[in-house]
Amino acid sequence: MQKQNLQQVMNWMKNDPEISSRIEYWHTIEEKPPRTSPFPDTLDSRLKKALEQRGISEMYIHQAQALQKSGTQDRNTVAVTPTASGKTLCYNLPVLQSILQDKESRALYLFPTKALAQDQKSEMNELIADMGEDIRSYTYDGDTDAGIRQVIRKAGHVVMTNPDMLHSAVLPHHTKWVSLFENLKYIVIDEIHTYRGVFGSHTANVIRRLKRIAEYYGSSPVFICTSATIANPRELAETLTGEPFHLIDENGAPRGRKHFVFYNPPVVHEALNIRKGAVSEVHALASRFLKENIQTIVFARSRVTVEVILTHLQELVKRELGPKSIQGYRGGYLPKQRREIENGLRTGDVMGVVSTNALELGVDIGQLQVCLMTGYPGSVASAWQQAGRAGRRQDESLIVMVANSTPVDQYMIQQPDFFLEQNPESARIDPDNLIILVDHVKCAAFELPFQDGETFDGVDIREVLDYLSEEQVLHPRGHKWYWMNDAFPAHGVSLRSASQENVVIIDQTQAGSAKVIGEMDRFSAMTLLHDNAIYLHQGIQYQVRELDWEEKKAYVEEVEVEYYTDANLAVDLKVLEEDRKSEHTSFTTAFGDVMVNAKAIVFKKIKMTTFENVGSGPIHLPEEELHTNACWISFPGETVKEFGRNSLEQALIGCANVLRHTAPIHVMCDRSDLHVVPQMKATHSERPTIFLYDRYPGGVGLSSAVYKDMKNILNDCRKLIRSCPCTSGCPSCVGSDLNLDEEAKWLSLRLIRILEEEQQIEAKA
Amino acid sequence: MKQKHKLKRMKHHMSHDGAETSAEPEQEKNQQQEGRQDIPFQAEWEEMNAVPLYLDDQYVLRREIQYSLDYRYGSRRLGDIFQVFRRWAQETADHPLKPDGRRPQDLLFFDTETTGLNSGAGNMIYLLGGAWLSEDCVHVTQYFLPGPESEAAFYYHFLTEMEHSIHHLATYNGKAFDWPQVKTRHTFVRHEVPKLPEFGHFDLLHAARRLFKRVLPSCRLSVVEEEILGLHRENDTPGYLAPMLYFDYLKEQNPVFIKGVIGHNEQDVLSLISLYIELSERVLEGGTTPEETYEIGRWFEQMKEWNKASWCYHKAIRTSREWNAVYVYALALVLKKQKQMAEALPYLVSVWQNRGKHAADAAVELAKYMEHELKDAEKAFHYTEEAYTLSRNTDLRDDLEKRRRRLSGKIRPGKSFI
Repeated sequence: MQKQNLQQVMNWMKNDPEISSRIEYWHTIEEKPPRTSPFPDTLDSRLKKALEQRGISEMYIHQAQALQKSGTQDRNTVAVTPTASGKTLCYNLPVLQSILQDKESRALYLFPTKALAQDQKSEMNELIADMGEDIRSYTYDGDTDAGIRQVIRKAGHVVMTNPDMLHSAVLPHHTKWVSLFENLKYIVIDEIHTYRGVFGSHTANVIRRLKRIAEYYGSSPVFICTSATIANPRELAETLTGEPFHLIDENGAPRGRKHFVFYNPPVVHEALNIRKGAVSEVHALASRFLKENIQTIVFARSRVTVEVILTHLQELVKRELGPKSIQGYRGGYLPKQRREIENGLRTGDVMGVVSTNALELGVDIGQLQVCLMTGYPGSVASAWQQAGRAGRRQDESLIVMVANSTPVDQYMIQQPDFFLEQNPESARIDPDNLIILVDHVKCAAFELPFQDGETFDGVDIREVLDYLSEEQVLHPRGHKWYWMNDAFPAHGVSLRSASQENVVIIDQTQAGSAKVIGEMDRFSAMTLLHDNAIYLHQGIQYQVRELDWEEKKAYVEEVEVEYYTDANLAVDLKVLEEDRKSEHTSFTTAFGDVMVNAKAIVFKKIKMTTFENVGSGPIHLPEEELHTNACWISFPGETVKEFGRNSLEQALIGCANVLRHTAPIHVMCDRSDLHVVPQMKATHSERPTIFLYDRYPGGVGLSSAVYKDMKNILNDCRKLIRSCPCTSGCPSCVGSDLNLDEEAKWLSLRLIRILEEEQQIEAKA
Repeated sequence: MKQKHKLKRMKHHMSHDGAETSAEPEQEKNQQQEGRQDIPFQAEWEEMNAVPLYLDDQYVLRREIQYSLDYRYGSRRLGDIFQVFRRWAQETADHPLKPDGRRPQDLLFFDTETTGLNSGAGNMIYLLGGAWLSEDCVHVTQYFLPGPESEAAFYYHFLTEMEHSIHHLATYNGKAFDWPQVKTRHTFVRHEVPKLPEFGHFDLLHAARRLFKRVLPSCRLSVVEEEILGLHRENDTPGYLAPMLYFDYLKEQNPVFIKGVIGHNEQDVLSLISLYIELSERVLEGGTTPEETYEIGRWFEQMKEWNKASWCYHKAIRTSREWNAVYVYALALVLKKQKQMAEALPYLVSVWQNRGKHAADAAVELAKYMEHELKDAEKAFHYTEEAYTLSRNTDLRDDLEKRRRRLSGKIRPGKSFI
């Protein structure tokens, strides 16, 4: 039978009665022609010639602007560029131009991942080869051969690395990089939208250290950044680097026609408004595309879902395409595995990829025609990034977002305008998070002693230095604060994981040849790697035989079971300090420091096909203590009388459920980064309270952003509950917790209405 | 203050790995630092033979001790180094321990003490110790950093005064640790002090590993001292305490805290002289046991000193109580390299016939010789078969398979062999 092309498959989707009834909205984004300008006269003729050789005879307007501002005027620029819009030239042109003019000139490139750096090195080296110039560009990461490291340090014109490497291998050894730091003309930070939350806050501090070392060696580099579409690219670039920026947001790249399809699985239980799972719909759609040999990428939010879909698809197409043609891709895979997949995609040996958002970044993986999202990815920016995976360059492409039953998904899919017209989110970081700050002040002092009166890129750290001297880490002497400890501080600080230490996952299925198959942060490990947990990796089920909490090792063995595990976390929360507070007539919102005690207590075994609970077991892990920021809404005693104790409890749980979904959208974070806890009697005030807290010690600005944006968040909560077609509350809105009864939906709405009315009065007053 | 409270509260989220200092934080000492003459605990320093040297407003302490050439450190007299140099001068073969025109007076036996064991920028050197020779005695000169603010003075005086001998260092693991760390810290003061010379030296750890790796549980200097130099240090301050003791000293300023470290460093540099003599003599003698002799032979072989190597292997075979295939096979190979195949042949045959270690390798060598030199395909085929039977290595078996196929083509059909 002849294979169908994308156009034919799309017609099938539109015409098949079953499929088309599930399509809530079919949005077509028309193609866009390029906007260009000619090469400026100032562009080095060798560079011009090399570009012309590659068929580039003029520049997109954003590239031209970057060259003018950062190349000629030495201003910091941040360019907002969608996937595949030629962003690389935004920084490669000014950098190469400066090196052509002065062979001593150096540039440092930061990419969020190693894979991305590898990719960019090949592109850079092709351009250099076309010019026939002796310009050396290298990647410097954990895989770099020891033999070549010295050459890179001494003679690399362009050094491409990642923040982790800069943090632990370059800055603490800056004396070996003198020629780079003395001549550092440009610092390129690609994909800055990925630097948010904990990782972004850490990276901002690494950049403070970088600037400090550059200044010590007498250079003041120009920053060139690129970002995907977010609401605050300039603000983010400025917070990340502590420098003023010129924003380039007019994009001149052309775009192919895109079809954005909002697909809602059918309702299977009218009264409870329960829909068929997104996963099974994705299975069906993906296998159709794959059977037509249409390269398809499937995104899913959690690792578990990725593994479930992967197993299913591999099984399905095994006979037609061979088992290797469908691959999984996620952060936990080791680098070598990931690169093999990337290569397979490029050559076409791999037809389909199932990925978590690890592949969101701009790694060039060749052309994929279809992008399938298993549920809303959690943020508008993320959704566009994933959509950009389909139809790179100017081909027609199809994006299908298959909704989950969760409140946000249902809200998004039923009001596509909200998604299509909504401004993308802001990326938040908090470089002054005290714990992160102290970690990097330590690293900075190791690199170079602090002088009296010296700030950390503008931050007064006198008290931190005092504290570190008391802790006998620093030694004040004369006018300086010296590192005086036998440790290597960067080794104790990980930029990526929320907790300081990761748990290593060891497969001991083969006696005598145990091997490491991945790692996971400590907080997640509490609920995913406890004893007897089922852990999925590359579609293979493993059972945790032992979680050695002291040694941070999880020993797993391959198993074949019909269930997965799901653990519960018990949380106790105390307010330590109230920093900000707004009083309203019948409620209070506040923001401050809290202490959270979390303990994994019990896990359930859930059958894969029916989601029935088929067993449970205890978890014996110590309590984890967390000092962090939180914001909270609390109600006075009268509210309890007004509502009735039981009804108010229902309303609190309902609202907390909705907030759990809406708040992360507003502050651009993962749902697991911002926890929501309702309490009928909060320890600090004995009042009914809903807490929202940052999962990272000290907070990274999420709950403070929630505090500021409470009005809009509550507004969204109300719209979400209202737009849900269920009668008395369902998993898509206030939840279907066993503690909730039929009134929960209306009680939650009533509570939100109180909150909103109050806010309006506040605004008028 | 708010930040202070927070710091206290979040203390357990912030770990400061590494050394805890042992001393309680003390009140400020009454330090009079008027003028150049007064440094804290000057009398105590003087008692330790240390004097301050100044550079602008910084100072560093230099400690000097002399030993007579007859001083015995372990089994060796320090002055024996002159004799060893004379012996080296008569040696024609090249060797990494060979002084090559240098006099004993040219060397600096060198060791450092640091604030940590990592190689990062923040790991500071606080003691540069060296032992050097004049015609009539051994000098130990140590430069001590009285505080982190004095590094310019520290390196200035060390580099100026040791200008000559610093070109010829003898260290223990200095190539990988001490010298790179000197370079790192030198970078911070490079505009204020003389340039660092290029690095050329004897790393005695390398030599010790060559000779003693198989017989000692570890090649740490203390182990080598005890087992090889027959030396036991009394009341020695272990090296790993060096960072903590320095932190204590910094707080108290009293040299009593680092006296032990300074003594330890002094012993280390003297020990290097003894060790150099010991190692040199063993190499020049061709080893004290068959195993050592064999290792020395391998070292010469690596230097492409074939004559010396085969001399050592001969000696190992001669002195070994039992016949040893490893030595014999090594000798055969080195003879082959010298194009003395006729001499090598009986050794190869004996290794093959013994059917023990290297038997397969010896058979391969014999096969190659038969095929390429003697053009005797049948004998070559025979040895290939032998090698195949004796071999357990699959790679080698694959090679042999090819060789066998090639050879069977060369053998005239119908004719049997042996």
